[in-house]
Amino acid sequence: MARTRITRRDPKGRQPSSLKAERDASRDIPRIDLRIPAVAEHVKIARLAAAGVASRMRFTFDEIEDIKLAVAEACNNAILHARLPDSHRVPATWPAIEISFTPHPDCLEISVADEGVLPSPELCAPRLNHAGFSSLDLPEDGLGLLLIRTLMDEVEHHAGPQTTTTVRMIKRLQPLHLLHEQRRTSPHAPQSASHVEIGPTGSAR
Amino acid sequence: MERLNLRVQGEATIVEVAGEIELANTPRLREILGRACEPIDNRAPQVIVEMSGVSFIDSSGVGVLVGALKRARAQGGTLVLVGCGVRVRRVFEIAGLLDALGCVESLEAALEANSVMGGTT
Repeated sequence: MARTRITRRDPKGRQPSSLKAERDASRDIPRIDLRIPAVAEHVKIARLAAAGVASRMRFTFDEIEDIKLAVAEACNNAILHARLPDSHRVPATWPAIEISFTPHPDCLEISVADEGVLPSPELCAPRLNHAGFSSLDLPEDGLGLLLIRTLMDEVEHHAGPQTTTTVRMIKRLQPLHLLHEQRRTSPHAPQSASHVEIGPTGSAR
Repeated sequence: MERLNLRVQGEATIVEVAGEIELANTPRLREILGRACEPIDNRAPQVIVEMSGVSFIDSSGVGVLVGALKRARAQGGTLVLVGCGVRVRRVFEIAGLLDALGCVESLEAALEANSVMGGTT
């Protein structure tokens, strides 16, 4: 993979410490694996984990929110389409969702795997402008995969053994020079994505 | 969800929602909106959903709002969203539902919109 060398030096020849720290940050973040029961109440844990990993990379606030929502939608899909437990199954054997966060120098790779079946093809329909539709025709479901495909840069899903399904998503980091240009021209932009604080409700603040 | 209240103000039924709207709590929201969308004294429902405190919404939440909008309109009534934040509006926009759901800035604007659109069974 080609490496881009970016050097910006002040008159005394020192490289800005924030620039170097951002470039090296993603290399220090290990892969994070998370396993949660396929229960709606636990999706927030996945969102918090996604925010925690993404905030240590140089994603913007909006990009972190996009990643959180995409992970939530993938988990929702897993829950809605996972094998329902038999009535006599105890909680210890509840179907699980396995999520892995793999930071790369130029992107964050996230995979969400469950024990369910693939969603039906109509759930993968492209985005439509519903402005001219009759209100009775507006869609109430099937929006999850549409959101994932729009929020993330690459999305693929495939069936694995024993009816498992894995959704793999990638969110690319903006080039450093573009990120700094945004910060330079926007006085309200956060100084560093790694300083995003996650509140008790799971929202960044 | 941090708050989910239903109250009647004049001819409008106001549902106040705050916090995160996610798969875990959308059944409860669906139940409350279902009650709000019922005719009152043979008058078509005029529903206002106060969203200024909503910090997160996923597709299940959007689906519940769309379902409530359909129910209200099927009975000749109205449903208006108030105070949707930037992130909430972005989710509506991605889903192609921003125009259909719409959102007004204030409760006063929503009450005005309801009185203009009216609605009788």
